[in-house]
Amino acid sequence: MDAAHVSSAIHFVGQEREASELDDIEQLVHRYRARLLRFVAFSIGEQDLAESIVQDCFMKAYNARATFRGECTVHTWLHRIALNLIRDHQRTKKFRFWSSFRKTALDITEISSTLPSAAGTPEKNLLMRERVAQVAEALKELSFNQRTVFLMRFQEGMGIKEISLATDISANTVKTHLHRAIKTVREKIGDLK
Amino acid sequence: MTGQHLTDEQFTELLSGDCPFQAIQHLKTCAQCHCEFEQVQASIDDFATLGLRWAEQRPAPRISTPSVWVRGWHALSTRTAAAALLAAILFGAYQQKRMQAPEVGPLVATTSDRPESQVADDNRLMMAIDKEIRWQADSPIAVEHLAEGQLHSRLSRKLAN
Repeated sequence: MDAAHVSSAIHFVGQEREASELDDIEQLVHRYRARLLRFVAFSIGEQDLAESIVQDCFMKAYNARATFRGECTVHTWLHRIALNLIRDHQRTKKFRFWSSFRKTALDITEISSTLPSAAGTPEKNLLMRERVAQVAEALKELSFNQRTVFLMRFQEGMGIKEISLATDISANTVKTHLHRAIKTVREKIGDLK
Repeated sequence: MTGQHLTDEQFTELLSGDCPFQAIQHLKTCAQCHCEFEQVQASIDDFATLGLRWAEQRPAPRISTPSVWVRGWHALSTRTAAAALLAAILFGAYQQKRMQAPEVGPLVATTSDRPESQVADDNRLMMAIDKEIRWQADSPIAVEHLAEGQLHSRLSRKLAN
C-alpha cells in the first residue's frame, strides 16, 4: 500500500498541511525517527530490519508528501506508512534471506543499558530494568494487532481514534485488542512478581 | 467490580486514561488494586521511556534525497526514453507496412494496369488453347500469324507452370 492511499484513507478535519515539515526530510527524520524506530522495533522484534523499514518509511513519506492533505497529523501518517511496510514485510517475507545472516533480535539488556547510571539509585534502576523486561516478554505473547494497538497507545500516546485511523481497524476492535493486550501484560507482570 | 476488586475492563479503562468514578473510588480504598495498578502503569511507562532512549541512541543513517539536478536529469532521461520507445514502435510499424506492401499490390491491381502487349499475348495463348482443344473447329479469331512452333512451345511452358 502506498503513501497516497494512506493519506486518502484518513479523514481528520481542520488541520493544516504541515508542508514545511514534510518538505524538509532532515527535519522530518530528526523529529520522528526515534519514535518510529521504537514503534517498528518493538512491533517486529528485530532492530536492523526496523531501521531499514523506518528508512523506507521516510523515503515513502517524502516521495508522497504531495498527497498528504493534512487530514491527520504527520505523526499518525508516518505510523500508518510504517505499519503498512511492516505488514508488507510480513506478507512477502522479502527480508527473510537477509535476516538469516543478520540475527539482530531486539535485546532488552541492550535497551536497559541505555538507562543512565545517574538516573537513580542502583535499586531503582534494577527495578526499572525488570519492569521493562516484563513488559517486553508480555509483548511477545500478543498477536500482531494487539501488540500494534498496545504500542500505539502506551508508547506513542495515540488515542483510540488515531489508532483506528492508523491501523485501519474500527474503534471498537481497537478497544478489544487493547483490552486483551493489557490483560496479558497485567497477567505477565503479576506472574513475575 | 467483581466482588472486591477491579474488573479487567475497569483496569483497562484506568490505564487507557478513561477514569470511571467508581474505579477511582475503589483505588482509593483498595490497597491491593492500587498497588497492582501502580506497578503495571510504572512498568508500561518505563518500557516506553527506555525504548525511546534506546531508539534515540541508535545512529541515524543519512537519508539523502536526490538533488534538483539529479531529479531534473532523471525526468529528462525518462522523457527521452519514452520518446525513443515511441519512435521505435512507429518505425517498426512503418517497416512492417512496407514489407507487406508488395504482397498487397497485385491483389488490388486491375486488368487496366496490365500492358496491352501482355493482354494480346494472353489472348493469343487462349486462342491457341482453344484451337488445340477444338482442333477441327474454326476459331472465331484468326491466329494464322502465330508460327506453329512458337505456339506449341508457349503452350507447353504455360501448361508446365
